[in-house]
Amino acid sequence: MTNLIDLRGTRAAIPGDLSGVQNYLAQLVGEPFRFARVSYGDELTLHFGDLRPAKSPKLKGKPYGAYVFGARGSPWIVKSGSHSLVLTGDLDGHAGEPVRKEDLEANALIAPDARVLAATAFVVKPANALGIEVRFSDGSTLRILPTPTEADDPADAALPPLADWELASPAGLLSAGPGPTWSFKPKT
Amino acid sequence: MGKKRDIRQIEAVAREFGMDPEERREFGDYIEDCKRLGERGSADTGDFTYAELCAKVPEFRGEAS
Repeated sequence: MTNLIDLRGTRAAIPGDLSGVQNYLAQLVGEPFRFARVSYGDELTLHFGDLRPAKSPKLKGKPYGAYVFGARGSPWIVKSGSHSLVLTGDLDGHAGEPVRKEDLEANALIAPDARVLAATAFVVKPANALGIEVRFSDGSTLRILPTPTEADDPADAALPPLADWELASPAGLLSAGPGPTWSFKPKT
Repeated sequence: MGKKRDIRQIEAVAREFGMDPEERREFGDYIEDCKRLGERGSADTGDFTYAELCAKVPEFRGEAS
């Protein structure tokens, strides 16, 4: 059977529709991993596909993948094809040695150009949230394991809610969470 | 909670200045670059406050004089 997935429409706050989110994750399958970058707030980002230069004049020379996966503030774990683990302290603060951001970016835990074999969303019941597993052709895996949403500090109440993970693509922005919901906004 | 607050502040600034997801991502990377180059905000942790992040948008966009 051959299937067509239409990525043009807006999908707003769909709760618990795993088959729907899989449709949007399908666009990542087959794309080559390029590099990892740690962004503000210690957010892990993974870049895939064709590279483009930054649009900001302040970021000359900084490349961006056509597909950018962001862990936002969620705990994550990478199981490398070279048999090492890297994980955020939120998952097990006592395991392993601290890794500097620069080392995380420089060391290829996932082999450059490894292809995405599968990207699968799943429900993390204790957190009532959507996790995701990305499998790569070099044997590596990335898992995002959201934790339960904490109550806001009063000072943060005016800030917008934060997704548990997101995928920016040429088609638009797929966002999962908070909670077991996801949404898709096509690029305008 | 601090990391999530940092990212949520970037999200709030992006909304206030009408950034699309690509520009919002680049803005977060720019602020991270500023931190790595030794710039410090006035928050207790050395992070930037919301007002300080807003003030960085023109220079990020190349609009600062």
